Amino acid sequence: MEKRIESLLEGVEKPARYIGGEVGSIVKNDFSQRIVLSYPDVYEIGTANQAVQIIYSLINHHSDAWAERVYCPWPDMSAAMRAAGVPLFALESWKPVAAADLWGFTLQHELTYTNILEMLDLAGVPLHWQDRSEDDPLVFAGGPCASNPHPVARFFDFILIGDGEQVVPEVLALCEDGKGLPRRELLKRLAELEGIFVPAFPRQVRRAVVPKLDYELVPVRQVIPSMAAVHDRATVEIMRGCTRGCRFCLAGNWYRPVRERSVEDVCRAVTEMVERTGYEEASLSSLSTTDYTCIQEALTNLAQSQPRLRVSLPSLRVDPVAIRLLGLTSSRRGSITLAPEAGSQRLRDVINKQVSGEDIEEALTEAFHGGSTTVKLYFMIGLPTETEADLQGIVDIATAARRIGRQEATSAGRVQINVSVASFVPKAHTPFQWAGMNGREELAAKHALLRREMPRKQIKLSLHDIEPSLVEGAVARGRDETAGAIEAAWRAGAGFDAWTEKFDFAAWETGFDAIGSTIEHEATRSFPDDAALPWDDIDSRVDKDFLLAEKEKSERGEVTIDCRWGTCENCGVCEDDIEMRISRP
Amino acid sequence: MRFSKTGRARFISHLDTLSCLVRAVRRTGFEMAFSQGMRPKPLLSLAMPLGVGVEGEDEICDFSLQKRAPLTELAKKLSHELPKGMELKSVGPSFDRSKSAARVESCGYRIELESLTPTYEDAVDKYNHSPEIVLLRKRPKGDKEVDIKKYVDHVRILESGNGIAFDMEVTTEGTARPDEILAALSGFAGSELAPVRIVRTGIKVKEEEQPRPPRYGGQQKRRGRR
Repeated sequence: MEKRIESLLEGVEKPARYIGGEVGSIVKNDFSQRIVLSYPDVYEIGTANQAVQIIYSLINHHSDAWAERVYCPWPDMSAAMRAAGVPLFALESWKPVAAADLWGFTLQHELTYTNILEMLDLAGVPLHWQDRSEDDPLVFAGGPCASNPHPVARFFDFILIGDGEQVVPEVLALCEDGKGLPRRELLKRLAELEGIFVPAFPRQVRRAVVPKLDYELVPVRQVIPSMAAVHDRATVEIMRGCTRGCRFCLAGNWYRPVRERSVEDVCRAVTEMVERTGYEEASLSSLSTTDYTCIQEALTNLAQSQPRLRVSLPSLRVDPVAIRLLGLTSSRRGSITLAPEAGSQRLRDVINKQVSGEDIEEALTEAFHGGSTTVKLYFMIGLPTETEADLQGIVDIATAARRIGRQEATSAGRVQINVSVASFVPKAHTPFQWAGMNGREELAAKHALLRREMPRKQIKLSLHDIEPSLVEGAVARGRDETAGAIEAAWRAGAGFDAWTEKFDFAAWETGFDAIGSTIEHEATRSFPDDAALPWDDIDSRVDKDFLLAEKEKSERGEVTIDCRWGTCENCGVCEDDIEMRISRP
Repeated sequence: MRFSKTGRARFISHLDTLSCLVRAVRRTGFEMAFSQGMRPKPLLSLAMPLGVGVEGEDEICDFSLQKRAPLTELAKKLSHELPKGMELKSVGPSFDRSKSAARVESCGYRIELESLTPTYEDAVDKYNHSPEIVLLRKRPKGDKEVDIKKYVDHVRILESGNGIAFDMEVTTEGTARPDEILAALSGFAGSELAPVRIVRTGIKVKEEEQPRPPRYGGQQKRRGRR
C-alpha cells in the first residue's frame, strides 16, 4: 500500500497534506485499540482544530489506545485514490481507516457534513450505521453541532453530546472491556453512559460537562503540521463557556457554565506549548477572551516571561478596555476586528448583545489611537424583528468608524473600514431556535439595500453568500429525514461546501428534493412555542423554559445581564460540581 | 547543519521545509539570531531549494544563534525535532562571511528510472555528444530559451544500470532542473523516461578565501527585506 500511496502523491496538489510523520504525531506499536480522529475538511484547515488536538493528546498520552488522524482528501486526491483503488488511510500508519476500532469526527459546522460521507465512502465503510458489519469501526461524532445530532444520526453508531474530555475515557474503557462483544451489545452499553446518543437505542441524553479544565489535558505537545496551516500558532484554551447570553449564539448557550483556567495554568501552558512547538505566536482562545477575569495579569506575565512571543487575542469585545488590553501584547496592531453584530441599539437589545453606541465609538477611538489603520466590523442580517432602520444602522456605524478613523488615526488617508455581513442562521438550543431565517429574496433585498446605501470611499463591504447560509440553516435545525437530503446532495456532487469555489447549490437542491422538501422551506420555517422540536431528546442542561423566557424577552427588547456580574437567571445549568469557575488573581 | 530529506518528506515544499527547520531549532531551546529591521526574521537559510518530490541526501542549512551552543547537545536535540523522513547529518560552526546559498557551485543528481527502454543508453550518448540542447521554459512573462548543456555537460549511467546521474552547474545566470534533463533525454530516446526517484546527492559550495571567526547574535549589517 505504501508504494501505491507514494505514486499517487507524485501527481497531486500539495502532497504534504497526506504524508503524516509530523513532529508531535504519535506512532504506537503496542496499543489496546486503534482510533482514528477526523476533522472533515482538508489537512491545512483540519490541523488547526483544537478539539482533535485535545482528544488526540488525551488518547495518546493518557491511555493505552492509539489515536491517529485523517482529514478529507482534496478532490484531486480522492479521484486518484478511487482510480487506483487506494482506500482512505490514516496519516500516522498509512494503514486503512476501515481497519480501526473506532473512527471519530468533529462536527464544527454543517457545511462539512458532505465531506464525512465522502470520507466514509473512500474508506469503504458503509454510510449508514445499520449497514455496518462486525468488522467495521464504530463511527462516532462530537463537537458543537452534535447539539442537534438528528440530521447526521443515520451516519454514526454513536454521538458524543458535550465535553469530549468527560466522555471519551469512559467510551475507551467500555470498548476495551467489551472487546469481542457483538456490535449491538456494545452500542447498547454505550447508550447507558451519560452524554452518549446512540441512534440504535434512542433515549433522552444529557450533555456531559467537564466540571474543571484539567491542566494535564492541555495538548502542550501538539502535532505541528509539516505544511503551512490556517492557524500556524500555539493555541491555549483559557476558558470554556460564555454567559454573555447572546441569543443567536450556539456556543454561548451550549458550553455553559463558564470554566476559567487559573492564571498560573494559562501562563505555564503557553510557556510549555511554545517551548515544545517552536511556534512564534500563541493565541489565548475562548469564546470571549477579554472576559477572562485575569486577562490583564496573564498578558503582563507573558509579556515579561516571553518578550519575543506574539500573543493574539481572538474574539475581542467591543469595549475600549478590551482594546487597551491589546497594548499589553507585543502583537502589531495593523488591523482590529470588532463585532457589534447589529446596527441599532434596539436590535442589539433583541439579540442581547450588550454593546452601546458609545462603546462602539470609544472602542474605535481607542483602536485608531493605538495605531490601527484597518478596522474590521462584523454584522449579521436577517435577525428576528429586523427592519430597514437596523440595516441603515450598519451603514451609520461604518460611516462613523471612517469618521473616527480620519480624526484619530496617525494617517487619515490610510484608514480602511472592512464591513463583513453574514446572514443569521438559527441554531438548536438557543433562544432563537424557534425562529425561521430570512429567505433568499429577503436576504437579497437586504444585500441590495446595504450595497446601495454604504459609502464606498475607504469602506469595503463584503456580504456573505446567501446560498451556503440557507443550506446551513436548512440542515442546522433538521430532523432524522434531513440525513437523506445530505446524502442525496453528496451523491449529486456536493462536497467542500464551505469553500466558495466548490459550493454547489444545485446539488443541495437535488438533495432536499429527494426528501420531498426545499432548502427555502426548511431554513425559513419557524416552530410554534409549544411544538415538539426534533432535538428535544437532547438535554443541554439549559432549561427549555429559560430559552423560551429569553425568546419572549427578546420580543420585548429586554436584555438579560451576564450572570457573572448580574443575578442568576436560573438557566438551569449549574448542579453539584458543575458551576461557574472563575480564576482568582 | 547538514541533513537529508528522503522518503515521504520529499513532498514537503521549500517554504514549509524552512519553517520546519526554524521551529526545530527553536525547540532545542537555543535562541536563534534574528535579522534587523521592521520585521525581524530568524536567520536561517537553505543553500538551494529542493523541488517538491525530489529527495535530498545531503542538504545544507545555515542558521545563526544568539550565543555559542555546545555542538553535541545541539545536534542531539535537533535530531529529535525533525519530521519523519528528515534526518540530521551533522551540525558544525561556520566561518564563512556569506551564506552558502550565495556560493553554490554545483549539485549532484541521481535519477532512478522506471522502465529502461533499450534506447536510453543511446539517448545518454546523444546527450553527451550534443554541443548544445536548447529547451523552452514556459513563463507567465514570456517563454525563455535555455541551453541546458551549459549546466549539465555529461550524464552517466548508474552502475546498477537502472538510472542516470549527473552534476549540474549552478551559476549566477542560473541553472537547469532535473526534469529538464529528463525531458531532453526523453526527446532523444523517443519515449517518455519515467523517474521512480529523483535524488539530489549533494551540494558543492565554494570555499571562502578569507573565512572569519564565527560571530553570534545576528547580522550587524542590515539586509533588505526578504
